[in-house]
Amino acid sequence: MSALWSMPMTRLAALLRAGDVSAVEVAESVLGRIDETEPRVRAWAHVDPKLVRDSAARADRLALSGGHLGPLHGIPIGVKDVIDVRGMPTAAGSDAVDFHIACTDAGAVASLRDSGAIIAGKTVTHEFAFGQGTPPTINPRDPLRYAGGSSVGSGVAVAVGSAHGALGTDTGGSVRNPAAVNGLVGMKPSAGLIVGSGVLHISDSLDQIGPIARSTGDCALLLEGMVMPERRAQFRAGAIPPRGAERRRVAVDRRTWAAWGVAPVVRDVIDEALRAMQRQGVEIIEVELPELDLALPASLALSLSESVAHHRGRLAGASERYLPETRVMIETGALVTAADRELACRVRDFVRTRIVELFQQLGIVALASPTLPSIAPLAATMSHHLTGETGSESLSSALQMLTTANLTGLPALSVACGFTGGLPVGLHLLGLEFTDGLLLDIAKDYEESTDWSSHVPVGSLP
Amino acid sequence: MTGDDALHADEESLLQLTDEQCRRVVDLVGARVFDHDRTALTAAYSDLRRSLDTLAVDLEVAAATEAGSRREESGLR
Repeated sequence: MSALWSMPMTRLAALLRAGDVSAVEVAESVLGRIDETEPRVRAWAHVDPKLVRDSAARADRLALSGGHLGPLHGIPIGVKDVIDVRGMPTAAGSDAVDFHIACTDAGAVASLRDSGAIIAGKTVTHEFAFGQGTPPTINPRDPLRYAGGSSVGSGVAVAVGSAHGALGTDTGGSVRNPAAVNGLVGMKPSAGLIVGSGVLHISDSLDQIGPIARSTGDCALLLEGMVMPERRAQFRAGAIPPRGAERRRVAVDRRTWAAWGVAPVVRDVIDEALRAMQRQGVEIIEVELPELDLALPASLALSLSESVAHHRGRLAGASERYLPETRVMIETGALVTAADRELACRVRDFVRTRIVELFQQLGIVALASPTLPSIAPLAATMSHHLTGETGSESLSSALQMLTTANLTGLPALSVACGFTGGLPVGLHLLGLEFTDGLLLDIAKDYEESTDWSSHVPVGSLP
Repeated sequence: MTGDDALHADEESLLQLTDEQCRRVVDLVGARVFDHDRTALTAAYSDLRRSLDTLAVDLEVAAATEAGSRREESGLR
């Protein structure tokens, strides 16, 4: 049997359910992997081995007494450090947060516990999830390169096998981005599928909690454990194509790829992935959705202006303890006017309507694109400007690719689809509301025709 | 254009924050921090302001184009 830390979550869940391995054995394997990898990648902000061992022992006692085993029973999961976990500190990657222990679980964490998951600890985040500054986490494939963000610790922990899965938050791609950079699967679920309470938010209207895992199967398992109970039936039904849609019809808008500065090497990998899907019988059709160009400024107007309310109190006493780059983003939000927000809301409604109409007219189930315009940029030269740049290695271009899903509330995921220069490339799929399960199924069909998911976890770290 | 010319052009393209905008940020972070951030904030806000001003026009154009397409489809043109 391979090491438990390296095993797919779906396989591990089956072994735990059958009683072939114990939760304590799994916990020891993961804690050992954390000890082994942390000196090199620094993906975790907080791990409490005693708490993990105690939780695992409780899970085993429950199993022995015939207690209910949820789908994630005994599986250790990492949680981004802007999401509250009862009994653990929430530090949000910031010196501006006074040390405190969360008294209650965030809603998504409570759902995970109800599903049997063990919370292994908190993963490193860019400060307050704004994506600015340089967290300590190292890209396991190339230490000089960007490791993803802002759910950087979640991505790297899953990539190196120190977590089977992890939670991130996604305001403009912060789950899908580290998934792509680390060769994983990451999903921003439909708005309303996951409880958003207990999170240090940037934006109430754009933020979603999402799962990061090593494969689509693991991602689906984790997502199911996070979904609020009253939405579980809807999530499962979402694997069925909407009326009139062809399960195997996927659209691409190549104009946006060029306009947003997608690097030729990335385009080539995506084209090969689309050809692989075609060989499986997927119909790829070309579309033009110029409305996608409108999403980024509207997203920024909403997210930055909403961030002000979340930070006003803390800034009053600790503004000098924020990173200046983070602070400037919030300050910029304070200058967004009511008219700007009203415009952004009109854009949101317009873009969403156009996407839904196009999907319905053409009977498509997903819009495919690169997740990011380039492979992981060199950290030292990457631009962090939010707007006005189209270079493939700028944050602005990365946001262009990803913010439509946040603005419209539609689900989207990134699945590993190849490598260039030894670094992973992600294929991005965006779908209609509450078709999260369908997107995962489409990605799973593609994934099964490739061996990209076997390229993680990383066996030999630099 | 030399590097100095480019820098000068960049500075000229920055918007100036109004007194009301300055007050709003001072209320949020304090005067000392505002002074520290002012240059970076002015650059970031100039970028966002330009994007939003363009967005208003782009939305009108996109909506008009869309309405035209619908008219064509329904034969009302």
